[in-house]
Amino acid sequence: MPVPITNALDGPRKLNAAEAGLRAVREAVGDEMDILLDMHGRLTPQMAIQYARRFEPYAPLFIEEPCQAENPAVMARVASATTIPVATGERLFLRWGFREILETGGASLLQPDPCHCGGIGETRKIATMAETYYAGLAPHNPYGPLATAVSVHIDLASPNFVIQEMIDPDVAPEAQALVIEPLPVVNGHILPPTRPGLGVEVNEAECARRPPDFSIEKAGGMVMRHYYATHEDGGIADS
Amino acid sequence: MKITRITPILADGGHRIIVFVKVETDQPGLIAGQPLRPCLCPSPMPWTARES
Repeated sequence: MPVPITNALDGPRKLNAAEAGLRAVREAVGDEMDILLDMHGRLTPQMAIQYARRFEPYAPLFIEEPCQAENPAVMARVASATTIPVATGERLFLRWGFREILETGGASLLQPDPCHCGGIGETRKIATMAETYYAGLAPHNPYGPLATAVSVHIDLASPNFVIQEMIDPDVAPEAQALVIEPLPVVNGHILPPTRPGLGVEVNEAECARRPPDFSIEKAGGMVMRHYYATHEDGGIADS
Repeated sequence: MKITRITPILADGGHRIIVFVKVETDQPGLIAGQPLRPCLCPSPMPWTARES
């Protein structure tokens, strides 16, 4: 997350801090590495525009959900106010959810989630719709290796594919173990599947060895650790 | 082709709980001609839907 918890309107302190953070990252990685910024819909459009303009000199590949996507016309105002491409889609469903985003110019990179936007077929249709608006495709995928394989199939069939999100296998080796021979990642690139079907198979025996723990200490704690955020006054913020 | 069984498979994926849905049919799958070839789909748990 490149921006701190931000109020509906905020002064320069947080803008300066966010810009300094991105500048440090750009200076550290140079121009050969792409930087992708996810605002996760936590900003108002007014603040999103100010952050985006601060970020422009450091040329991130895109900014994701600079504001909430429910009002595409407003997101379009953000998109038109910055040179950085805007991405969105993880909270949109079916081709109908993406139509207005494309028509208003709310985003030039669509991130449909094949797990909940309608499946492989629907994601392909969304990708084709995006193609007619010269918009790119970057499927949303913070899940496991099976969802990654599903996304890769769509990517390989979509001329406007840009980049694929996935959980780093080194960060979540437990998830990798839930399928037999997950798709290999070499030098930052996922290799295409070579086996029939999706190309990976669920390891049911391993799943049986790893039953989910729904206790508040485990599952609830995981949510609180990773996804919970509050504003300075204690109000709940989008994580 | 008829669906003969739908089985949810839940597992701890470390960073989140992962749900697979195994769908079995009375016909061989489209690929490899194996009988009762399962088709599996992933889905996030409801409480993880807020994550990026």
